[in-house]
Amino acid sequence: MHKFANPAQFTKIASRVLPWTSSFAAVCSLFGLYFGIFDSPADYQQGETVRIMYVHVPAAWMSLFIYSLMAAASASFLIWKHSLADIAARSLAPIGAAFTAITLITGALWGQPMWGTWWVWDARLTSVLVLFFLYLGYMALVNAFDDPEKGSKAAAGLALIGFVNVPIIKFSVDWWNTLHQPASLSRLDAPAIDISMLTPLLLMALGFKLLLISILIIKMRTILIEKRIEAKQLLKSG
Amino acid sequence: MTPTRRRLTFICLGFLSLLVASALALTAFEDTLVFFYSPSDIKEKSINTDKQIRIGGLVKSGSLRKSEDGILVRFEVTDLKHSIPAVYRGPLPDLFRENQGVVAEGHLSKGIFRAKTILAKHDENYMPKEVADSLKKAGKWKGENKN
Amino acid sequence: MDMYEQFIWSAYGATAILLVTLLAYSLFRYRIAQRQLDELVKNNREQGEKTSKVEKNS
Repeated sequence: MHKFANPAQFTKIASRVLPWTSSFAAVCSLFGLYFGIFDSPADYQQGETVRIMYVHVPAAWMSLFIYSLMAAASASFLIWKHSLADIAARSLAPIGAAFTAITLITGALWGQPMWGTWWVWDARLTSVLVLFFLYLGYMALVNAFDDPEKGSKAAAGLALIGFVNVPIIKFSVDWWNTLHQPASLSRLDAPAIDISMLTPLLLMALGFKLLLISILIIKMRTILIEKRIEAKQLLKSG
Repeated sequence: MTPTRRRLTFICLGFLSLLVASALALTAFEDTLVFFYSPSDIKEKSINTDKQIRIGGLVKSGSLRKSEDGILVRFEVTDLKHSIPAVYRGPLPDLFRENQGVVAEGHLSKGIFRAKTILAKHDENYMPKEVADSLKKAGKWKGENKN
Repeated sequence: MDMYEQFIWSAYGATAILLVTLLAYSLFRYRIAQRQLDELVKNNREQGEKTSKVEKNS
């Protein structure tokens, strides 16, 4: 693990991985979109509107997955002082915020025709909104100090505290009465999702994961370059 | 202890106590966190019925009656143990059907729930119509033996 | 497609706009940083050559 935590090693591996992840992200998303929009059946209850699921559900998975990664990176920065972990957490925050925004927007667009409302303050929807503000809070805090080290520490602390929200989001639909329905995929009995609808769902999920890796690599390399520029300028003025 | 070990224990313990604290807080606030009450909650718990509340459950099969102009709707909300009759005046969401989930907001007076808004609640099952039909035919449909 | 077509297209459209913007912005920031670094390296080299010339002449 420590071998990969070296910036030079990271840049080497990342530049080799990036073409693969980005091209596979495009392929998976295009196939997912094709199956999702054109080649999957309408739902027996919801009709065509079920197609919103193929972006809403993978985006919701991403918003939780990215937050977990960010919290893990923050913990490893606070405990082992890995600067690369700090760079990863800083890069993950805006990506997670974007996926959470997608979850909220597509959720509203799904709720209006199906439930009859854009938004309700039930436990699931409210906890996802809290997640969005945790991402925004992290992004604000990480740049709030003159000393970047201080900002990283404060934001990492926030990321760890906010991690409590992740199980709350996951289990909110089981613990409390909510308007939002419970999870379909974690059930092991009876077919909760038909296989013809599962295909576009999983393809989109895979496409989003690969897109995450690609954007993460680009963002982390940008920060590494910016750090080198800063170091060179310091050397010059000093 | 090395500084790294100290930081590791500190963060683990801190997170653990945070988890316990939030679990306690969530249990304490449980009643305000539920979005709606089930008919059993209304019958068994003492819930202040003067206030505006939400009730949720299934639209009992065979209970749906519409007035001739289709504006006034009567139905029963059930959780398969208890049911509460409800009346509503206005447009209904598309998914509002018998045996489907419903959340109604309004107030209870003399045992009848006067709904101001109706939200449809859908379940976690997704399948094409043909699959649903064949499941029903094969008698493997869960919704069928619920009523 | 049924009467809810516009909801479906808005959902897909919003997703595409957000993700493409995120990707484009990240690439844009990367290009700028890379260009800045290249310029800095070039300047340093030129300056280095100048100072070494001065040292030779003296």
